[in-house]
Formats: sequence, structure tokens, C-alpha cells
Amino acid sequence: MGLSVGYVIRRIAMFLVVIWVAATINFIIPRLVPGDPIQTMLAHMAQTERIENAAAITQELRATYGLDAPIQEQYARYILNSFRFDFGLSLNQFPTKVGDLVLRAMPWTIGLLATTTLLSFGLGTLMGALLVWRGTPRWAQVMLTPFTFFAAVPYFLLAVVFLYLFAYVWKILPTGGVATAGAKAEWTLAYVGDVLQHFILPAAAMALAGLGNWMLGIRGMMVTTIGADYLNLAYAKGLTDRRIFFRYALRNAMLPQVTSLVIALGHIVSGAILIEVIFTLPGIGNLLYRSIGFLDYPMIQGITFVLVVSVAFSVLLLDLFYPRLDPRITYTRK
Amino acid sequence: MNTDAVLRINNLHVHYQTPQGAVKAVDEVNLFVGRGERFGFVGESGCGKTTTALAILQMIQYPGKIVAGEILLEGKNLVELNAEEMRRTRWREVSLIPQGAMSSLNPVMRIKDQIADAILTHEGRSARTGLNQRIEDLLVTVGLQRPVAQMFPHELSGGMKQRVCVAMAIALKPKLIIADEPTSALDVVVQRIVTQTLIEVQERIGASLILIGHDMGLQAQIVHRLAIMYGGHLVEMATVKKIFQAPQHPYTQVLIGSVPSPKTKKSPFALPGLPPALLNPPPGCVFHPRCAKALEMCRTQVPPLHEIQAAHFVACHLYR
Ligand SMILES: Nc1ncnc2c1ncn2[C@@H]1O[C@H](COP(=O)(O)OP(=O)(O)O)[C@@H](O)[C@H]1O
Ligand SMILES: [Mg+2]
Repeated sequence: MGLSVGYVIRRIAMFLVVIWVAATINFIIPRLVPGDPIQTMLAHMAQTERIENAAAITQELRATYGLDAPIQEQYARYILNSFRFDFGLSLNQFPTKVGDLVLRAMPWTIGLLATTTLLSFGLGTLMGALLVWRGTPRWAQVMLTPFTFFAAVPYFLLAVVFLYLFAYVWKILPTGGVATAGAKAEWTLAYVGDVLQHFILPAAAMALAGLGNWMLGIRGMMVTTIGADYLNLAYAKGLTDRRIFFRYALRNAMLPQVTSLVIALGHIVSGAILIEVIFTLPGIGNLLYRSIGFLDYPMIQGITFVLVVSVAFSVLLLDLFYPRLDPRITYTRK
Repeated sequence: MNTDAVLRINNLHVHYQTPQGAVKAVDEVNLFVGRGERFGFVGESGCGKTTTALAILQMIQYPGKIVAGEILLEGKNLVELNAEEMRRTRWREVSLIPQGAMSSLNPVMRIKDQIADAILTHEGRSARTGLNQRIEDLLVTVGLQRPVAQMFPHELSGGMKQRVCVAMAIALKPKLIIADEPTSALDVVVQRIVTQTLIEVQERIGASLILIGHDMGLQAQIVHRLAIMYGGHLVEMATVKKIFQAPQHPYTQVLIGSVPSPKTKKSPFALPGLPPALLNPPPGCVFHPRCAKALEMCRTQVPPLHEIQAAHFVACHLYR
């Protein structure tokens, strides 16, 4: 189809350039910020223990973090390490590796947010499309309409309301965390059930808040598509209503939605911050939040890098797969 | 052509309910189309041609509504069918070559899938065997190459898309094909070739054809019989020969006079005034405000369609 080998190579090269630029910015920014992270670290240490030979410790820490090498060497090593996903040690949870912490947090974030994003995309797109489909029964349209209201409600507000009602007032769902305190993390039905129960509220808040946006997005596109000539011909062909809805109307109307979905998936990590903080979930968002509070530079850099990579990677996937969705898009040079 | 009618429309009225009132897009239309006949349907833009075509397919969209009338397809009244019965009738018995062929194909589906859709919906799974061959054969029939089956609409030219629409329309060998200005978006050369193809395949499958258009000259070379529509009314219906040799309705006479001809060097279209507003049509004959021969009664009484000679129908008070 529309893809040429040359295009794919160029596009992947572009992806690598974006990552390189991100790593470079990551390298430069902390060096522009006033203040010395080693001194900050020492100051933190000094609060808990007596520091005898500050100069020696400073020297040692500089060596540990490679800050004593010439700047070019620091840069080269930094870029190389970035591509190997090695951001050194966390300052906050010294001496754990940033990479390990990020990897540990990642599954929670992806598990919760990727699922809810896909869920609300699927449901919202279908519901929004049915909202304006003329084959939809009147009662169903009436039932669907209120859900668009959630487009106006921020997810964190919804989260707080849910938390208040279900966890404090009715006490039927847990207030936060990923599992009941003390539960052993293992692949047993009980543990998985426990985790899922903890996910209900944050997932419901995220999915419901997203739902309205997807509904509004598809509704507008659907109205345009319903008026298209090819839909009229589909009716004239005597196709079933269901087939026309899925293969002719929704299939075309959802093309712009897919772009939005991919971008939303790329932003999962940054979108996770508030929900993870509210529900004290040990995901990337929460990790970033705590790292910022502690000025944990290696941690912040590591997470920022993950953010950039995930957005860039989503866009790369979109660019590579979009011609399959919309054959009118071609990347072959004529 | 013989006289047994495939399609018979009796007293058809279609209104579009607008906030300002009812737009009488089709008003008291009576006609019949014979088996294997090519029936031309002409009139200026907005006179109700498409609405009539959509009424036959029971595809009038809100706020439109068939307020009265019968549409008999081989004796079966389509107006009375329920939605599911009508869906099964569409394409299998009446197919459509749409007005906007450029944009009538689904942009994200391969040509073969769009044709297969129609075939499989009506013939069921059993049609799967040999389906690809059948689709390619259809494309060849309308002068396209086999690989077109694998293509997407945007890879085709306007003429090719129109041919695909023709191939699709004959896929189920319907009794009646309605072609709504099938070539008006094409350039003149392509227009002739596509029209020629349309006639060939129509004759091959023995279907009747309603050809909607506004070009009297083009129609004259193609169809057997013509109906002239004006302001939602059918004003004259007869064989092409009669219409051109002895047009009876004053509006038809103006139309015939407007067909450019190097011999007569007539100036085209010398009709004063504007087409009628169908929201508030003039009382009496819709054409009377623009008619040079209008009588007093034309202002008050609607002239019914009347057979003034054998098989020559005119709706005009001059011939009562
Ligand atoms: N959806 C609609 N709402 C209101 N009026 C309409 C609608 N569709 C068509 N009409 C009116 O019906 C009349 C006939 O239209 P149409 O059948 O498309 O004419 P034609 O095909 O001969 O150009 C026109 O006057 C047009 O304004
Ligand atoms: Mg029309």
C-alpha cells in the first residue's frame, strides 16, 4: 500500500532524532538551573546524619555521577546512556536505579490508563455514533445524550466525587492503592481480584470523563458522514442498517478519532499524574509527582524521557499504520 | 419494447415539510415505464426529478414524505412495503446510478468489496463461490480492466468511477435501473462513452432504464420515450419522435426550441421569468406565469395529464 521502504526508514530515523533531541534537552536543562544537585543532596543528608568531610563526599559523589569529566564526555555518555535507558541512580530512593523504578511503575500506569483510554474510546465512539444514527431507537438516543455531559467534567473532579461517595460514604470500594495492605503480590485469583477492585474507581473516573469527549468528537464527524453520497448509495444497495452503520458510516467517521486516540495513548503517562496521586497508585505519574517534590533530577529526566519516547513512538506507529486505515493517504513519492 | 409496464406511478405526491410550509417537490405525477424501455426524464434543476427517483426507491429523507400515491413495480406497491421488505427489493429489483458518482463510492473500501457487499447481502453466502471472478467480469462488461477490482475509489478517474457504479447497478440484474444524471459531472467525450456503455449493459440484461437528465439533445439519442417535468408536475410524456416533431406543451416547445442546432441558429433558452418556488407554487398551472399562451383558466385550475393522442400525454388546458 502507500508505504515505501524509504519512507519507513526515513520515518524511523526521524523518531530517533526526536529522541536524541529530547535527551540533549534533558542534558542541558539541569545544567542551566541555578543550584547544585550535589549540594542539595548533601544538605538532605545533613538533616539526618552528621557530615564529617563534606569536601571528600562531594568529590566522591561528583565522580559517582560523572560530573568531574569534561562536558563533551559527559554529553556523549549521557546520550549513550539515554538510548540504553540508563539514567543513573535516583536521589530520592538512593541508590536504586532510575530505570528500575520506572520499569516497576510502568505496568500499573499502562495497565490502568491504556485500558481505560481504549475502553472509553471504544464505548464513546460507538455511543456518539449511535447518538446521531437514524436507525437508533428514540429511547436509546435519550439514554445516550446525558453521557456527553461528562465531556465538560474534568476526570480528577469525577475521581474525587467517586472517592467520596463509594469509598467514604458507602464504603463499598477501597480508597486507594493497588491492593489491600499486606496482600501478597502473586498471580492468584484473590490478588488479581483485589487489584481489579482497587482499579474500579480510578478506571471509572478516567473512562467516564473520556467518554464524553469521544462522543462529541465522533458525533460531529458522523453527521457529516451521514450526509455523504456514498451513504445514500449504500442505502440504495439495500444493505442492512447494521452493515451501513459499521462499514460505511462509522468506518469513515472515525478516521480523525483514531489520530486522537493515538495521541491520547502517547500522553497516558503525563495524564496519569493526578489520578495516580488521588488514588495513591504506584505508577509513573505518582513517581514523577514525588520526584518533582524532591528535586530528584535523574528521576525527572528518566520519566520525561519515557514521556517523549512514548509520544514519539505512538506518532510513529500512527504514521506507519494510518495508510492501512485510510487508503487515500500515501507516503510514496510520485 | 412492449406495452406491459414494469413501473407504474399513480398520483404521486411528495412533500418536504419545512418550517415555512410544505415544499411540493412532486405533485400529481403519473407515469409508466415499459419492460426493457429506456425512459427519459427531463426538466430543469429543482423540478423534482431526484425526488421522484428517490420515491421509487423509498429513500425520501426527512423532512420529505410521500403524502399520496402508488408506486407499482410489477404490480407490487412499494409505498406499502415495510422497511425490511423494501430493503430486500432495493438493488435486486431496482438499482440506482447516483447523481454524484464522483463521491458515491466508499473511500476506504476496495471496489470489489463494494460490489461484493451488494451481491452478498441479497444472494447470501452461497454467492461467495466464484465471487471475485463474477465481479471482475462485471467490470470487464462496463469496459474496465480486472485489476480495478483491487483498487480504491481515489485511484480511479471520474469516468471509471461512473463505470464502477454502472457495473454495480447491473450486478443483480434488476428489472429497473434508475440513472440520475449519471454523466453530468463528466466531460462530453467521456459522457458519450459511459452512456453508450450504460445502454449496452441495460440491453444485455433486459432491464428498463429511467434516465434522468436535463440535456434534451443527449436524451433524444438514447431513450425511447420522454417525460418532461416542470415545477413538480409532469407536463408532457410521449415518444422522443413525437416530442421533437410535435411538442404540445408550451414548456416543451420552449425546451425543444432551446436545443442548439447549427441549422436553425436559434438562440438558446428564451424563457422569461424564474422557475417556480415549490414552497408557494402559483395557483392553477405551475407554468402559467411564464407561459405565452396562458388562458384565464390556467390561473385557477390545475390541468390534469391527458392523453391527447394515442400514447401522447399533455397536461395543458390548450388541449381540452
Ligand atoms: N431535504 C429537503 N428539504 C427541503 N426541500 C427539498 C429537500 N430536498 C429537495 N427539496 C426541494 O425539492 C425540490 C425538488 O428537488 P430535486 O428532486 O432534487 O430536483 P432535481 O433533481 O430535479 O434537481 C427542489 O425545489 C428542492 O428545493
Ligand atoms: Mg437531481
